[in-house]
Amino acid sequence: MARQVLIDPVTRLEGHAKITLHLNDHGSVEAANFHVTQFRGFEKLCEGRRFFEMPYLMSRICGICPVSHLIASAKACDAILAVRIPETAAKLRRVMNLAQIIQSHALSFFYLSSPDLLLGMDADPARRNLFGVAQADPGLAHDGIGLRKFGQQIIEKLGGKRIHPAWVLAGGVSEPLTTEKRDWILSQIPEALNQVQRTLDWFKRNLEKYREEIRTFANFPSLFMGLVGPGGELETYHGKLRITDSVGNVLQDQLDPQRYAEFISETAEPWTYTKFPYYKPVGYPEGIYRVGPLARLNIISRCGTPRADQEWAEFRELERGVILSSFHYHQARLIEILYSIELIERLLNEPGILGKDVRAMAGANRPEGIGVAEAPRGTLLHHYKVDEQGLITWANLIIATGHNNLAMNRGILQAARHYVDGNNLSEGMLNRVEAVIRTFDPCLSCSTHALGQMPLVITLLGPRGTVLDEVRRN
Amino acid sequence: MSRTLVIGIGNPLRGDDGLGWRAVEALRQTASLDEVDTVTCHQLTPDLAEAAARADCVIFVDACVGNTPGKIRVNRLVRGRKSENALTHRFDPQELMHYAHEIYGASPEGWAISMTGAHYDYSEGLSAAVESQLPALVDLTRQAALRQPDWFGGKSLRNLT
Repeated sequence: MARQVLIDPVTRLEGHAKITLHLNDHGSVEAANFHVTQFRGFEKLCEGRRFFEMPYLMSRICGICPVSHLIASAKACDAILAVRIPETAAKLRRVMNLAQIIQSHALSFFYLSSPDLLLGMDADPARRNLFGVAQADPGLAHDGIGLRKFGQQIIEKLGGKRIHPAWVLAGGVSEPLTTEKRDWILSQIPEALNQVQRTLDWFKRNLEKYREEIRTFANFPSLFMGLVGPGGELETYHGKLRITDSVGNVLQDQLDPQRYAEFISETAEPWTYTKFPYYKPVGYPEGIYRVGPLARLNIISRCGTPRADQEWAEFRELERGVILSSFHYHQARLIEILYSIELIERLLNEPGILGKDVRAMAGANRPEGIGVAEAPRGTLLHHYKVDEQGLITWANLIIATGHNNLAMNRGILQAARHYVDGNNLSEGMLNRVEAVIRTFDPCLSCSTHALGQMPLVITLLGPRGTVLDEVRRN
Repeated sequence: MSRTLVIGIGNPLRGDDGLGWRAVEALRQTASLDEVDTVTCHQLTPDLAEAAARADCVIFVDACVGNTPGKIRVNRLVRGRKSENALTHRFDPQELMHYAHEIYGASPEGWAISMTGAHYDYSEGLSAAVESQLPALVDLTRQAALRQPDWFGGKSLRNLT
């Protein structure tokens, strides 16, 4: 008899989701769906707002990656202003974006995934958490907490607070960097480098233990997309888009992100609030692609910082050519932490980083603007249209997690078919299906903004939980 | 020299939930607190464990429910309870102290000073009941931070184990 296995909620990730596994009469998995069960709707609720409010409004999308939205939004506003921001401001925004990558990747690796990696996928769920990691390997927990704190402290130094900082705004940043703050950040670099290197070394020593997971965790051909610099180097703040195929052929290169709609399209499915972007020339769903750390390290020609380049060269030898297994997102994340720390050090030592000219002033000079940056989870795009008064009339957000939606759904099906036996279910089997999602480090709260025509039930509850009103659509 | 860490917890946009922030911000205006470090946060996170480990005494200031609004309560935190919380979304002072011990090998003294709030709606202001008792809360926290003898005299004291 056909059955359904429900994993609800999916744990140790940002946001709310469930997974349904559809079993056939023999207890084997035939289909799987990753349902994102929360709706945010920022594309709609920002209509009518003044465009220069958007960075602060959009940063409220998320408490994990607010800086990513702050920056992509500010870049869209820069385009509406039709300004080129001062060089110092661009460098400072870049530092904050790199700090965001450090703290977010540290959260993903240490807080969310290391319980599986250190304690095992079949460990007792009561222990399989950050506290269990702290008890089993205090040094690993120490390094993870330290790295997350370092990234957050940089954000706080620059923007005034760790979560939903201000400071980044249309035209640049609100104030220059002080010598004191610069010197403090630089003083923390050596220990941060040691922390990430220790973790990388530990992870590489233990990689052999995960051979089966490497083989089965969203390990399939796909396209890969991300921003690159002019020479094809890793780029997280500016740059142009590159899309490669599963054997490393470059399909599109140095694409202006302003033309995203020419090669990225989106569709929706009725069983999840997250859209499904796909590569338009190939169509849906064959135009599946991945973004984020694994994609970035697949598409680039080099990282551009010495120690990260060394780790990247070693990383690329894990598979012949392009790295296809999503399990390797974990190591890619650690390499990007290393890169981000090295690049912050370089930027803070550059002349002009303490410059006072940090903002370009203008009014709305264009009716629309597009801002793109690399968030920790992948390419993030904010696209706004404004009227003559500079009020938002339309917004489209393509979130990193959304780019990976097709891949996540395909990935859980692959893992579920390998691990799940419907006649003999175990917690470890289901944890492995969840762990596939964790490799992508999705930010689900970020990813659900299109109102569209999807089925929707809105319930109005009174103070005591009484249903006062309900509206249904489709 | 002995160092104290005071952590004000809460959401300053949710009415009385912001009293921890307000208390710590007022404390920062007080002179002669050279050996006191202060932090304000929406919620406790594991990265605060390092700061807690560096202190000899950690004081948490927060709003609570279940009593007459404005009533102040003092609880001593006794390390010993292992965390059963698989998620770091809900992280209480006890767990933070446990992290400080497990990861950093430190066992600072721990106190929770709380005041019962009246309302937690979307608001940047405190209720009248809490606002009127805020100076007393700040003064008590200052005495605790300075490790003055018998600073908790007269307040409800309960050991949390």
